[in-house]
Amino acid sequence: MRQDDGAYRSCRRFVQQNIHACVAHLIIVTALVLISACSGFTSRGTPPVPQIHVGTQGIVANFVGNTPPAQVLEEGKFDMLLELHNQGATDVDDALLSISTNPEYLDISIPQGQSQLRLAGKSLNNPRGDKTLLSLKGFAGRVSQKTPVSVPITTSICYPYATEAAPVVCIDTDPEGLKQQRKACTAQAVSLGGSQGAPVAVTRIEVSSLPHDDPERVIPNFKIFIGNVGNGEVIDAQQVDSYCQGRPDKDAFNIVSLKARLQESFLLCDKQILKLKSQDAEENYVQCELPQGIERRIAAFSAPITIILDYGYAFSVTRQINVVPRERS
Amino acid sequence: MPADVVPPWASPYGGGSEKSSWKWILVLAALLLIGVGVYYGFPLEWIMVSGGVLVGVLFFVDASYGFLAVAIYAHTFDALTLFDRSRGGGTAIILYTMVAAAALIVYGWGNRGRNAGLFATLSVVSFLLPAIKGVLSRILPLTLSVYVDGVIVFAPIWVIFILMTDQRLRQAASLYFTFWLVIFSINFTYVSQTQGIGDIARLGLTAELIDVYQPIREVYQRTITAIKLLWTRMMTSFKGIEETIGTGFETQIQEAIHGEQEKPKAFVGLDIIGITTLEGERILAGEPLTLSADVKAGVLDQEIAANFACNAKPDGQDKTPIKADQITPQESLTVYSEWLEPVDCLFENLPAGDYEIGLAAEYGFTTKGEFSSYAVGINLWNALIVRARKEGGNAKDLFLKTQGLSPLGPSISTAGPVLVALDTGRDLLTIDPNNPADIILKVTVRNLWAGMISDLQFLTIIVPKGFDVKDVAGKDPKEPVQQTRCGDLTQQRQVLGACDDEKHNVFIAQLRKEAVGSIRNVRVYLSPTNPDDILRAGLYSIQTFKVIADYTYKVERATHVSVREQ
Amino acid sequence: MRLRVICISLALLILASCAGQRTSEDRGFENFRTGSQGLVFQFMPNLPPARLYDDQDFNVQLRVTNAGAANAGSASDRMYLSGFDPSILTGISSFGEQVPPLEGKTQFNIQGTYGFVNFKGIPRALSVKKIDKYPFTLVATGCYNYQTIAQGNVCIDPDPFSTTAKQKACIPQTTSMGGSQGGPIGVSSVLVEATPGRTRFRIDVSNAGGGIVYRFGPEFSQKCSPYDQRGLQFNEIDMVRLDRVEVAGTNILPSCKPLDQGHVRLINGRGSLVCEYTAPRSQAAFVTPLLVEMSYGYQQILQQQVEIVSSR
Repeated sequence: MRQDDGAYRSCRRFVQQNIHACVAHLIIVTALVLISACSGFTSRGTPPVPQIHVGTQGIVANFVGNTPPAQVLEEGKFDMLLELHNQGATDVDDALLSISTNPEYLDISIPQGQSQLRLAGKSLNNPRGDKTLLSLKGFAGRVSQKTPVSVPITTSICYPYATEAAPVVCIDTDPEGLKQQRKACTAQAVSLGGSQGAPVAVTRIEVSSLPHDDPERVIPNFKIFIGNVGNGEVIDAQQVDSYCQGRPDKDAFNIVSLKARLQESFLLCDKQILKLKSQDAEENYVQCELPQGIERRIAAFSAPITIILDYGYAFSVTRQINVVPRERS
Repeated sequence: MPADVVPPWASPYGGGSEKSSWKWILVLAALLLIGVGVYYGFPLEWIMVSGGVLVGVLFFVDASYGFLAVAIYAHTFDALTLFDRSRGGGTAIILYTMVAAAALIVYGWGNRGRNAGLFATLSVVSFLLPAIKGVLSRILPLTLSVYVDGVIVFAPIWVIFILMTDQRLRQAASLYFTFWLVIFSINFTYVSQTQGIGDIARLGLTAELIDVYQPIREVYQRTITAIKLLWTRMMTSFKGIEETIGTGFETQIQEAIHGEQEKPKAFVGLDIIGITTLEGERILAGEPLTLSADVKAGVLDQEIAANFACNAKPDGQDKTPIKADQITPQESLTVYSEWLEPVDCLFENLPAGDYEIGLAAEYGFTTKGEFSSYAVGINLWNALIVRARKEGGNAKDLFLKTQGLSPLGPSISTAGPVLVALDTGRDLLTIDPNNPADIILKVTVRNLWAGMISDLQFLTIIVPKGFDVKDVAGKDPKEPVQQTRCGDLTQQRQVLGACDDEKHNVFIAQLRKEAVGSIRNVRVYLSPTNPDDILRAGLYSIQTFKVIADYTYKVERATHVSVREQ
Repeated sequence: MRLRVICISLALLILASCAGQRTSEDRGFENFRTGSQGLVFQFMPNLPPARLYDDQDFNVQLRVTNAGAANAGSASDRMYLSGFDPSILTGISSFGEQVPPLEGKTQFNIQGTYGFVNFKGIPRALSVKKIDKYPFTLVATGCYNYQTIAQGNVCIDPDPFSTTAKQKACIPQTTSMGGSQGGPIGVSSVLVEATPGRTRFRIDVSNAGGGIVYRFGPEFSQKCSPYDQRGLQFNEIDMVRLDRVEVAGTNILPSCKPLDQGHVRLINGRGSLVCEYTAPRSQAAFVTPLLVEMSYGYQQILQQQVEIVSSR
């Protein structure tokens, strides 16, 4: 084909010139279909499994549609539709909702019984998690200026939450390689990608095997890295209520408690409560080990390590609304 | 077949099919090896490696044949193992890579080497494509995975078609395309029925490739998160631009329909312009002297009661000014918005001497200053400080960022000859419910005009419920600060202050009488008497403070005149 | 021509794909000591399935085919399953299951025999451990004792440098012994070096089965288990026991070296030993059978990806 031909004309000309080759291809395609018939495929009919422990958010709040409106006349009323969606995998029984704004210009109240909410997380029966729509009423006050006043409305949702991660790690009972045996898996760092159906996630686990006092056993050792992967703030689970009301303790932020389990036993960790140091997960880690160890006699195997993180979380969303003065004669 | 089409089996060295038939024999031999080996139960890896060696040799002889043979052998392998590339996948990758490198070494970066290397290199990439596709197909909806397959899986073919320079290579590539199409169809049909589209990735993975796959997946997910964040920020910015453009556009439309709106005047209040003496700058003693000027009013919200005074001040500081004998139209006038009125002053008999002769207009005015500040509980503030210390940055920025807020602007003042500026001197108000500390509201009254504030009379201080005014530094010591109600304010001040007894506490402070030069500072001491009302039930609140300054403003203009003895 | 080529290609493709579904035919007497496999293990289709729920039984069935020429299936020949967390998948014994007695190939049974090994495991509920799914690599380890008997004809020339004009019956040269002899360990070639009065045989032994060879014996078969405390050590693998080396009816094993307690050591799957046969110089060159008999333990590993999914 000449290189200056248009692509379409080139392709068409190519097909026309190579019609016999195309026929040959057709025959080969048919043959391969026969091959597939010969190979005796069997159908297993397994449907895909819904992904529950996936995602980086907990409860997310969003203003729906054009609410609140971008502009409201002074001394006028307006509606706000707030959608709360539990996008994570943990049920929440007592999420607290609070609204912050400038009471000089806006008055927004949360209807009775709607400041404390219950939202179930994702599950096999509820793969998307609970959603609820709150309807809030607002009133705009008087504006003494001649120009519109921009007022923020911040909706905060505070809730206790948990992350359950169960990555599969390789337990190598022969780290020295004394046994001349091909291992079922290789003990190495496992990157989890930080998506476990919660805003605080285990991002990585480094695995190693340490010698036990008993030479017939090894101690699996894990360095578990944790990070805030959501869009909100990590707070102490005990201070969810006080935080949402603007009255937390000094050390309210970034408190996560951790429990880890391998097989039937809880791991011994160097700290039960982790204070996240920064947004960078590399700085936030806990060292855990299985003190009783695992028998060397068992060949290397893959096992899930269950990690449960407990914490509180706060997510705020802000909209600006212009309160427009009426024309005065 | 058209004459210019070279069949795939034709030798590149010219001649008929006889000379190129041995290459086909090699291809068939590779296939035979596969069949025999499978039949006799040789390990599959052995079969594929030995077949691969044969086709590798062919590759060097003629890249198109080699490529075709590689494609046939590789995909037969796939069909036999149902895409279980854990068996020999690593071997195949190594083989392809070696062939690619060797082709480049042997042929150099000419056409042949380029094509050979390209095909083999892309074949290496092809082995990783199912894994990439598996990742993508977990993300994308099921229906889209078909299109993803079409693009991703056939990507090497598209590249080949674009970059190829030899017609026979194109034919070989089109055959390769056909193989891929069928293999993919088998794969899709079988696997989608058995394991779901999302599990296709597992078929492309070996234990070794998992090491590659995990970081790829992690990088992919971080990239998606970053793209989402970038998209959100872009959309937010775009929305801001949209509003600005929309607003401006709307204004232009309105102006086109209704005519250009008159812009507000540059000043508010009164000014005296065009002052002059009608008899000139020199007169004789005993002659009358008329001082003439225009009094101009700016855009006013309300009428002003202005008092006029004309004085002739003899040169020398200790001389008593001489009042005018008559002021026309009168000494006190009600001035309306954008009013222009001539005012004359008559001096009937000025003694000889040099005078500075002037007209002064004095009027009462009110200017309001308004200031808003975020208010948070002291505990939350301390928690933010602790966190900011650890993460770097300052607590205020952290607060704004976590709540999605922007800084509130400085105080605003209504138009007038005087500016009333308010400030608390803090980033935001921190309220300790258990031990609320006083807050100082600094009120600055600044003269903006050429005139002067002859008397700053009192301040009306409107604060949110929850605050009380404890004291005002600069007030008249004989007059305590008085609390009043919105309803007791004048209508004008109620409107100006947007005062509501349910929302505000109102105080009036009479100020100490002193001349105000260009600026006067007053400090209002606020006491948070009801922290719950201030903080409310949220993470923060915004508290708005208003101060209305009542003052008398004097504008004076003068000119010189000389009175001589007759 | 074109169509012919295409049709031949198609025929071969179909042949290659459908291979394994042919029925065996009676081909009459054949040399049954061929092939480089001993026991061949295969997971039966869907046993285990690639994915199952935690409320289902975990059934594994392996088809064991004796594709070699020796009998197998003694008490120490066992299959083991490993690679999983025993606290999640229970019921699978760490002692493994015995490989059923399987006769090797004979002249009357060229296909060999096959049997099945079954395992049954019971997954624990994953939801209790807050696990959605548990993927792992199931490893099936087969450990068995095997023998290889390699037979081939070699030429003995006691007087290789004689100057007589007599025509010799044969000339000593390398013999391939058929390449493989019905077992994963085989004699790949025998190099004959004739010197006056003495003939040396360099016997090359190779591991062509794709698995790990280890010392023969039940105690080593025990160590082959993935659950053995110590497992096979470096001086226990890649060792093949020479039981017999006979030429012209004479046992020449004592002359063979280097042997480590009667074992030849393989390095990178290959090893060799040199044996000597002494024949009187007066004897003319003759062809005679060479017999090499070896015993060894063999470990074969099969892997399959399995995923157990929480049913709640």
